[in-house]
Formats: sequence, C-alpha cells, structure tokens
Amino acid sequence: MSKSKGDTVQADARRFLDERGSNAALAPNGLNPATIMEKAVKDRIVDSYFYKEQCFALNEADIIDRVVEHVNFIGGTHGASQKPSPFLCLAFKLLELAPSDAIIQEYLSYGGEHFKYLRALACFYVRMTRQAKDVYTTLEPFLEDRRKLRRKARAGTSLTFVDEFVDDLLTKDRVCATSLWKMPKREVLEDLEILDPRVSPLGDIEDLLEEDDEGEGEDKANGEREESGEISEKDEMEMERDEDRRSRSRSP
Amino acid sequence: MRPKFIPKSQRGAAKSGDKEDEDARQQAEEEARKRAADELVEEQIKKDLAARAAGKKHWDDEENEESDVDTTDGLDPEAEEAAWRVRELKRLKRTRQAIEEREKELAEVERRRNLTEEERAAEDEAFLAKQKEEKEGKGKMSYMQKYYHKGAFFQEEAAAAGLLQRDIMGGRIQDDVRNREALPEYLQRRDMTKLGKKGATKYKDMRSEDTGRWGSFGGGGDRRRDDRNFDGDDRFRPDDDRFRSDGDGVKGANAIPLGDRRETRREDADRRGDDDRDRRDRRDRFDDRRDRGGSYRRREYSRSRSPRRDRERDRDRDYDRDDHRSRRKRSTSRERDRYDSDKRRKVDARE
Repeated sequence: MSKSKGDTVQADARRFLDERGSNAALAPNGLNPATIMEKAVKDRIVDSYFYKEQCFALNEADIIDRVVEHVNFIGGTHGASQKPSPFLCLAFKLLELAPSDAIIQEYLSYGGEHFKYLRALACFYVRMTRQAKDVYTTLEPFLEDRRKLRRKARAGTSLTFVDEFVDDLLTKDRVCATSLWKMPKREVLEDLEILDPRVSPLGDIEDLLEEDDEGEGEDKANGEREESGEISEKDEMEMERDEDRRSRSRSP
Repeated sequence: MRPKFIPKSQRGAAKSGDKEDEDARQQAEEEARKRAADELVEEQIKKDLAARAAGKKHWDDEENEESDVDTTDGLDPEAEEAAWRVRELKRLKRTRQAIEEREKELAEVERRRNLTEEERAAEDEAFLAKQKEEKEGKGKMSYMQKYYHKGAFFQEEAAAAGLLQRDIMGGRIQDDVRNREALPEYLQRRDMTKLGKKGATKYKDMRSEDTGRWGSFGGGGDRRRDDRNFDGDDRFRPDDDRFRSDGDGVKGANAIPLGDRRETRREDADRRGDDDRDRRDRRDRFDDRRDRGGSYRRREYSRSRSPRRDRERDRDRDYDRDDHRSRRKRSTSRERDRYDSDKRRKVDARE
C-alpha cells in the first residue's frame, strides 16, 4: 500500500472511508486516520459543499492554496445545521493525505509565518496524529505566536489567538468537534525524562514571582528590555504578512 | 383544460370560432410562465454574483454576520504583546499549580507513611468522627417528609456560591406539615400535590412493605426441621413422599452416617447437648463393627486432597503463629451456634 501511495492520488475520500482506513497506513501515534474524527462529523464533512467542491483531488501543495483562499476562521461545526468549517474539511483531507513530517514542518514554519490559519491547521493535524513527545516539541514553540484567529462555534464568533489555540490543543480533550486522543501529561513525560522541562520565553516563573514582589515597574522594564529585539522582528514579519494578504486581495 | 361535451349538431361550428382564442391564450400563458422562470433564474444569478462580489462562497451561507470579530494583526503591537504576556503567565501559573498540588499530595502520603500505627489510627478516628458529626448535624428526616436531592448539575456553581453545604432537607416552607403522623392516614402523603390524585403512589416506607418477622428465620429454631414442619398446618404439607419428613428425612447417598467436625469432637464433646448423643452412639457402633472386622486399619492419611486440619494446627503451633490462623476459613461456625443444630458436615474421609 505504501508503495502504491506514491504514484496514485485518491481523488476523493470514498476509498478511504469505505475501507475505514484498513488499507491506509496508521498514523505515527498508532491511530487509524479514518477513525480519528467522529463518525457524525465525518459524514457531515463528506456531505458538505466545501468538501465536495474544494477538496476534490487535492495534494499537499493544494492544501495551502485552499487554506489561504478559503479558511478565515477555525472551528468545528457551526450554525444550526452543524455545518463543518472549511478548516475541519481540510483537516480531514490532511488525515487522508497523511503528509510527511517534512511537509508538516513546512506548513508550520515557513507557511505558518505567512498564514496563521495554515499554522493552526498543521498544529491541529499534528495533535491528532503524532506521538506525545513530538506533539509537545512541535507545538510548544507556537505558544509564542500571538496572532489573532477567528473562532466560530455554535454560540457565535469569538476572538482567539494562535497561542491560545495551541494551548487548547495541548490541554483540552475536545477541540474543533474532534475528540483528541488522550495524551500523557507533560509532567509525566518529564518524569520519564522523555521531555525536558519547558522554558517559557518569559523566563522562569519563580524569577517572575520574585520580580513581582520586588517591584512591578522594574519588572515591566525588564520584560520590555528582554524582548524588545523580538518585538521588532515580529513587527516586520507582520508587516510582510499584511502586504502578502493585500496582494491576494483578501482580508479576513 | 376541462373536457366539455358538445352535441354533434354544434360540433363543427363551435370549433372554428373558439380555437384561435384558445391558442392565443395558451401562447400567452406559456410566455408568462417562461418569463417568470427566467426572472427566477436571473434573480438567482444576480444573488450569486452579489455574493461572489462580497467574497462569499455558495457553501458559505452564513446567517449572523454581525457577530464578527476583527482579526487584523499588528494594529496595536504593544497591547497584543501585553495580552500575550498575560496569557503566557496564566499558563505558567496553571502548570505551576498543578505541580504544587501533586507535590502536596505526595508529601501527604509520605507524612502518613512515616506516622506510627497509633498515630495513624488516631488520625483516622478523628476523621471518621468528624464525618459522623457532619452527618448527624444534618438531622434526620421526619416521617414521610419529601426528599429533595441537591441535584447533579451546576454543582461547581453551587460550590462557588457557597451553597453546597446547605441543609436542603432541613429547610421547611411555612405551611409545611411538621408532624405528619398527626394527620389522618389519607393525608399522610410525601407529596401533597399528589393528594387525591390517581398518580399518587401508595408507597410509604420500607417498614410497611416488610412482611418478614425479625429474629425468626423461617419460623425460628432449626431451619431444616422447620422447613418440613410447615407451621404444623397440614394444608401446606407436600403430597409428594420425597418432601415429606419421615424419620431421618434423608435418603440415598445423603443417608450415610455423618461424622462431626474434629474440633467439636475433641473439645466440645462434654458440652454437647442431648440431641447429639444418639448420633454419636451410632457412630460408635460403626467403629465397633469395623474393629470386629480385623482387617481394618485406620489410615494415617486421609484421601482427601485438602490438608488435614489437625496436622495444620500442629504445624501452626510449632511456628507459634497467631491462634486465629489455625481456624477454618470456610463455613464459619457462627451459623452453627445460631441454629444450635447438627448441620451436615463433611466427614473426614476414612474407610
């Protein structure tokens, strides 16, 4: 199967769904990619117009186009009819395509710098399919990404951020109409010495607490001094991204 | 068009005049219908175009546009930075709290492990006493009082509002009956709204449902004997001979003589009642017969695969174990005392 996967591209998910993933390779965390999403959600995705029209015969590169063009919010199903979001449809497509680590790295780093929704999508996919250690190591750098995201739920639209979304992925068990697999807690992995303790960009929390005790004004100045370089870099990047978006004549 | 009967005499004349009118009308109708359809399609196309111009896709039939948020980045970098800092700090605090909680739990376990037996017992005692006090502080339910549960939902909210400890059953509304036993039986209802209604349950409490007699097991005394007694009433005696109590009451393989438990034979022999004596005599007779046979030799070891009890006891005594270890686990002798009867015991197998 893995050999034939290279030359043939399945146009739609029919085979994938009919065989219930029995012929597809398992995801690196040992789950069957055809059953990671829930049955009801899968059915809605396959029935949705967006999936039928825009997710037909996609490959890994086309995914980026679709994300840039059509994904302007994250979310699972929304509205009274529980319509699946394009975000979810594309995540399902990713499950079907099972891109390699290198591709995901591209999505996350280079693509992610430019397109925040692409990064969110890739993060979501990583959380669904990768092993716990990889999930933590891959996703935690994006806890520094403070870009805004639009999130649609049944209740309505709300504002969230990339770091918040990543944090949800790491801590919550249900995100975007998908029950995420139960990942061992970070502390457990640290105790097993699989992971190193996370170092926050803000520094150690004990230092921060001490600083708070000493004086808040000083603390603030400290923080700004620490991260002033980073901020300017970020600004530049954001400018670039804005230009990019304008050139595509589409603003979310 | 409705079919209409035209007499033969009028047929030719009517046709020629009406037909042209009819055709014209039909044509007009047809055109009108076509125009309406065209309009409909045109309208749809226009709508689609407008939607496309507005940047919407046809799968994107969103209802409430007003609940939108602005997600443009970089409007106010400093505020965004500050907001992110807050979020990050919250995350750090959360992880720290989790670690602290875990460490606290471990420390508690460690502390308890290091206590001596007495201290631990005292601690447990105190805890249980506190629990009991809490339970008793709630008060007992009065007779036929309606039960209200605190409810499964919104418990977190209730705890946050400090309502979780409140005494739900203790509270009374003003016109609630305090003493239901004083009421006539008809009015003794748990739920007064159900009074006189078909749906009112007749259930009162477990005590009124109970048909047993306390302290008596099937009529008191020996159960086996009493089962066959049928309270002395001939109407309840079985017709079948098999169930009739005649003499010994046992037949077939069950009729073989029974031995006593060894310990009872050894220790309680003189304490036994008169009702055991005849059985013991019978066993002695058996032994006599076997002795007369001559070839009989008492086996040293029983054939039963389970270890013999008396040997076990000896070993235990050697090891100077606690006394209770040597006691039999299965078939506790409590029942024997209660029924004060000769229950059928397994004989120590010998031939």
